[in-house]
Amino acid sequence: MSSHISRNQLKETVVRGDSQIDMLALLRSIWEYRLLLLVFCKRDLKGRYTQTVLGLGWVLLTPLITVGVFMIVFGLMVKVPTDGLPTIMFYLVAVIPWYAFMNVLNPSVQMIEGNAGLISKVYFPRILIGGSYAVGAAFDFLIAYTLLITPFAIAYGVWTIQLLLVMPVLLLSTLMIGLGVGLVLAPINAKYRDVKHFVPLALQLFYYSTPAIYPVSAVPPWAKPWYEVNPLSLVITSYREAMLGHWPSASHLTTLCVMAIVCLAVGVYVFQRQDGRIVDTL
Amino acid sequence: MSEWAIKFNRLSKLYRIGRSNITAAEMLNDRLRRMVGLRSRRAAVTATTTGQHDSHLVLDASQTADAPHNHFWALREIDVTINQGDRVGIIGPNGCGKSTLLKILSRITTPTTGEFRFRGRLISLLEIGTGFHGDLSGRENIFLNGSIMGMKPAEIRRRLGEIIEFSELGEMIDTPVKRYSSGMYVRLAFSVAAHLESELLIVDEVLAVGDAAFQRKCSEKMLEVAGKGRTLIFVSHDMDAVNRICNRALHMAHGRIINDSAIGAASDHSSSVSVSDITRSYIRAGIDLVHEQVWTDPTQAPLFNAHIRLRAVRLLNDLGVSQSQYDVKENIVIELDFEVLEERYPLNVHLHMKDLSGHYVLVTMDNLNVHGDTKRASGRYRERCTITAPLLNVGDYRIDVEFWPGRALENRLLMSSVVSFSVTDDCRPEGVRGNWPNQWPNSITRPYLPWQVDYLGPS
Repeated sequence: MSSHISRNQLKETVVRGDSQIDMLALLRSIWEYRLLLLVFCKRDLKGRYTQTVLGLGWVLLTPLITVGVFMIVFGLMVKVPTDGLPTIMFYLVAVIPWYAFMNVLNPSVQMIEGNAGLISKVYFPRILIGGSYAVGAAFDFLIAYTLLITPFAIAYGVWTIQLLLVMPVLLLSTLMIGLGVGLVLAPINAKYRDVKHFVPLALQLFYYSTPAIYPVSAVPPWAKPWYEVNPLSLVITSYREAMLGHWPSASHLTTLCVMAIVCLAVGVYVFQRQDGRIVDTL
Repeated sequence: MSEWAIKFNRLSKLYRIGRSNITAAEMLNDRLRRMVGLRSRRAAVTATTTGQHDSHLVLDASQTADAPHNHFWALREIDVTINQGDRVGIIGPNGCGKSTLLKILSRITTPTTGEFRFRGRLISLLEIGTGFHGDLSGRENIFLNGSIMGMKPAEIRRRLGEIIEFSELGEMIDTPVKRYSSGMYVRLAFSVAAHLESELLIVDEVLAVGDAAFQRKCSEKMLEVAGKGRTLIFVSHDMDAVNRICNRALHMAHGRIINDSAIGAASDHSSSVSVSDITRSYIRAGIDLVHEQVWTDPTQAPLFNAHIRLRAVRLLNDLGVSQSQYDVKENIVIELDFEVLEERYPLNVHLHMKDLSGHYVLVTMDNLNVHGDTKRASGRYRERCTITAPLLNVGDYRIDVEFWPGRALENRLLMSSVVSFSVTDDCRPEGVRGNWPNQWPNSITRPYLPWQVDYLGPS
């Protein structure tokens, strides 16, 4: 959308109506506005926990309560098999990554609608809002990982070096996929608000097709291929395998990384194509 | 000639008319109706609205003629260069494209065709509360706002004291902005925008919300900011503010720039177009000057309090010719014919002269020739008042007629804008201007005042 030429000591900016997406310019402007990313993160964090008594405590409380409910319903009552893992660990490594995914996807879908006041009044690379949601989700995840997954894993004797080392890759791909999908849906949601009604339903469906409350081993053979390509399934299974001391298989890891990169690239492309026109559709 | 700061090159913007989204049910309904042979309701409405023609409509035919179906040109081929340090006022009626232009300039939306370029950093203040977050305090919002505008924290921190001081928010600065009044919002938003380091500042009629003192402070700040070489673009409906602040005016209508003081000055040196000429012509747009009103049919004539009938009001020059254009050096005679039907009041005539923005220029009354308590005898009257030149400056004026029935104050009889006229200046040397060859400054009056110049000997 814009290019810069240094002349007369003042940066010259050119805006054209019919310009193509310039990835280099995009990266440069993201770099120029890098501080804004942090400011947005701070803003979101503060906005999320103002007028709450527990504040950041909710970052831990939300997954804990969910896991507690799962343990009672699926662990005690339905007695879902856990592949030999302690019940609490089985659910913790499913629920916390799932929340990270949701925490980036859900707000990203509504990022244009929700920040209409900002977007329609001042220019900045709008993709940064999505980026800030990803950073925020990572922040929440890391707190939960450090204060819930790690201590419980140690306490139950299932902590392995694999559990620590696979985490960055798994977290990064979770966020990239969530952000990528969010960036595709955000401009559509700006125009057709149907999207935000549809997304929770789709997510619910996706949730049940992800081995969060059951192990992949309990899945019938005809459904198995889906679990080989469902990225969240790969993430959750990898965490569970890691606690048993296994590295994730190379094919799983490759699938996951390729999906993450493709998702994010498509997301950024679609979002940037719509960027200049977004305000007109609000 | 200074360096350019902003250059628009054949910039156009296309917008949709009507609703952009229709629900599936509406679409189905439409299709079904068309299949059955009924014309859809929406199409019928469009047909009736395009049928009527009115120059005061927000959209005119030229904006939709060569646009795709259901679209119009909000901006059409904007070609303007703005120099560094200019203070540009953009004026025009609602819907003429002012805000769209600023939105494109602020890069909030992109042009449909054409391009623009600008040099340096650009800060814009569009509508109130530019990018504030309600849950954050004023101080935190300064940082948020500043970062959005591309400033570094160190830079913001350096200016923080100045910003808070200018906003006059005092201890409120640490309160979440959702608790602010709209005036406080604007104070903070303007303070941030005006104090951050940028080469271009864009302000869109936000200041109207601030109180009088703050508005004055803001216009002083804008002048100061422009004095430091920053370029200012200012949209306002307050012509006084434009006259005061700007050194260049752009008048927009129907997505085009129809009048530009800089272009006027360049093309015709003898009578350059000033900012006040443009604001004046904008205020006058759609108003016809009326140099006389005569009611020949007594039943149609305005009747005041059932006993005074106004028959004619005329503006005459020295030769007794009724006209609406006067030179600054010409006398203007206001002539009133009226009938008093009944001897009841000690009636006096007052004339109020206002400029088209409604500022009072003067009030004059015939009281000085009439005894206060004698009742006006019934019969026909002709009164003439001469506005002796030189007195008025270039501009447009209108006259209200008032009959004042003595002490019965509750019965003031007023008819506004009965006649109107404009005063022009050919800039030829005469008494008031001496050998000053240029435009007279934008004062309301330009009376001839005696000057005494004494030579007190060598120093």
